[in-house]
Amino acid sequence: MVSQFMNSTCTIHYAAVLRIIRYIKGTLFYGLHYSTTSPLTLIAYSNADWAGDRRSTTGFCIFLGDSLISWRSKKQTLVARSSTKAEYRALGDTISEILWLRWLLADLETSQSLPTDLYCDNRSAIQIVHNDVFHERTKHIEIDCHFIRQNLLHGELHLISIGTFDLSVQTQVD
Amino acid sequence: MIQTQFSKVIKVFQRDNVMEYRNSKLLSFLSEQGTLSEFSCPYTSQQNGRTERKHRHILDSVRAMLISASCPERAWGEAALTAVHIINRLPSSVLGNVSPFERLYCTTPDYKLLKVFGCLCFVLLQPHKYSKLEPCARLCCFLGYGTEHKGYRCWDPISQRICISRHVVFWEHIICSLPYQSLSLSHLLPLLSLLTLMPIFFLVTHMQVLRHMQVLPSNKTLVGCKWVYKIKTFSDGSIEHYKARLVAKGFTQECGIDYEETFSPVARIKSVRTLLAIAATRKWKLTQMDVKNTFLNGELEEEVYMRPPPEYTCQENKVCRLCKALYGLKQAPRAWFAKFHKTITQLNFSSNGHDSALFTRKTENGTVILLLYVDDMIIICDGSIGIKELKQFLCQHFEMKDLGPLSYFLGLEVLSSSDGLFLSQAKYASDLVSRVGLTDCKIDHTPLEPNVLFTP
Repeated sequence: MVSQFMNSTCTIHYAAVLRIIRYIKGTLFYGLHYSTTSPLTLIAYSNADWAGDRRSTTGFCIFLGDSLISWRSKKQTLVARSSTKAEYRALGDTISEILWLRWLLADLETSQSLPTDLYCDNRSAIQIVHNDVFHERTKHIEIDCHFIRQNLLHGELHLISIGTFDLSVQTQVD
Repeated sequence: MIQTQFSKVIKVFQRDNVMEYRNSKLLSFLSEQGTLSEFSCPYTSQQNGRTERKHRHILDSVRAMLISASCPERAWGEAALTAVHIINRLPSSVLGNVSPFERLYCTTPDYKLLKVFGCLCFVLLQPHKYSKLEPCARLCCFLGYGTEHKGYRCWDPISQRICISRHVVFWEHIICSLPYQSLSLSHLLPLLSLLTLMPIFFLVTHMQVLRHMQVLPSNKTLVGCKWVYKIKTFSDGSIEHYKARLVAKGFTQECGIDYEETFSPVARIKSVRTLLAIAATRKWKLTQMDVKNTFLNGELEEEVYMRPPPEYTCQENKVCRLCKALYGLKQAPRAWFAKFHKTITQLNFSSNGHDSALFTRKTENGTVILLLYVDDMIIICDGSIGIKELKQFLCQHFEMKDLGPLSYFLGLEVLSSSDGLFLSQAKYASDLVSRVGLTDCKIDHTPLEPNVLFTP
């Protein structure tokens, strides 16, 4: 959040950095707990913050049972004209990560026999995935569409709609 | 003084408005001599430009000298005197490339007398200060040139005094980087023995380097080398061991001629976490090991020639043909990974297609997983047989250090308990907080103010 101003820093950024450090001081002993009783199934949550700063932000977090193993909050490289497109790109990124993790887990004797649940709060993005017909307005995200749909058909994914306030990624993207 | 030495009279005395220049004694002395007084206007240091510029030149030099010699700040006085001494002997373009010293005295200064500030030196003791069988010189830190004496000013750490002597032997390639107020004999002795043992050390750890001495082929380039010394300390600051390492000056290598690729895979942090999560659920054993002198194991494919180290005497036009990697070479990390990959596959480990630094082996005795991050590795095993075999194998091929059960890996603290693993970065975070100097500050509960908007 503050590192994007590295080339022209000023007092407000410095104050923000100090505040982050004060926050870190309060969370020194926070950490991740990997429980022995956790199941070994992947669950993913995807979200996007549309046009927060012209460009949108991708966010996802992936759990192995109860253990958080992978997350990202990253500014997208392209400008998205609609929130659906931003969410869609986020879905694409999340799915690449899920695929990599599924392959890795297969090598580590924890194959995921069932499709991975992917939670997303944008209904229209999910609609586009399930709908075969391309509209004029979704032409430009065709490649992401094909990529996601293909994985859906292969049975690697299971998309689930979820309310915005249930989303654990929400805090991360904000 | 100027009148007697150079038969010149001071005509004008220009200064700023500091109190010490305004006292009546100085003013009356000046008027007695017939010297005009000129002050700069209050808060207008620009009018005193020449002095201020000189001042900055000296201070800049002092700062650089103190930092490069790792001297404490209280040596600033000595450093300033030395800086002025050197500045007066440097040729200046304003004077037509003649040094101020030469312009003043009409003789060239003797540059042979200049030494590296802060270097190690041995000062001959006075005859009554030591008995016949005691060492006749003492190890000191060189701090400057005598102003009234023709000799060198050196800091003697034992008597905690500056001594001035003409009989000094300098080791200018070694900076006396120990903080000079707490320099004690017990610190110095091992360092000294290390320095004198260098050739032997060299032969032991870098034997392979010297085995292939030959004349440099005409179309090949030569890489220099130097010694790097380091004192490793425990977390409480006490000395763990002294380290000397021969490094190649890899920055002179050219891409395409001396090396091709330089990248080397390391484990993804996500694979580390995934592995730990699985290991927690399956209750697998986690062990940590690291490799000593990692990069020295790498085998070079390219022909690399290195100038022999300065301590090593050999025939003149002979250079070292390197067969194994040295620290500092561009291709060293890559060569190390290639070597490790080659070795570990001998034990039927296979590299994972999705993370090259993850090696696995599946047998009827169980699965062994090895995750490599340059020289640190985590070994995960579902039984104890595989782990023992792997450890033995690694110790045969590399110089290994067994760090026991996993506790600290890449800044990640791992606490293991009966209900799982707990990962935190408390040490890393508290180091960060203390580096910023906010250890006593209040805590904020959110990392950002709500609805704050940043603009560049």
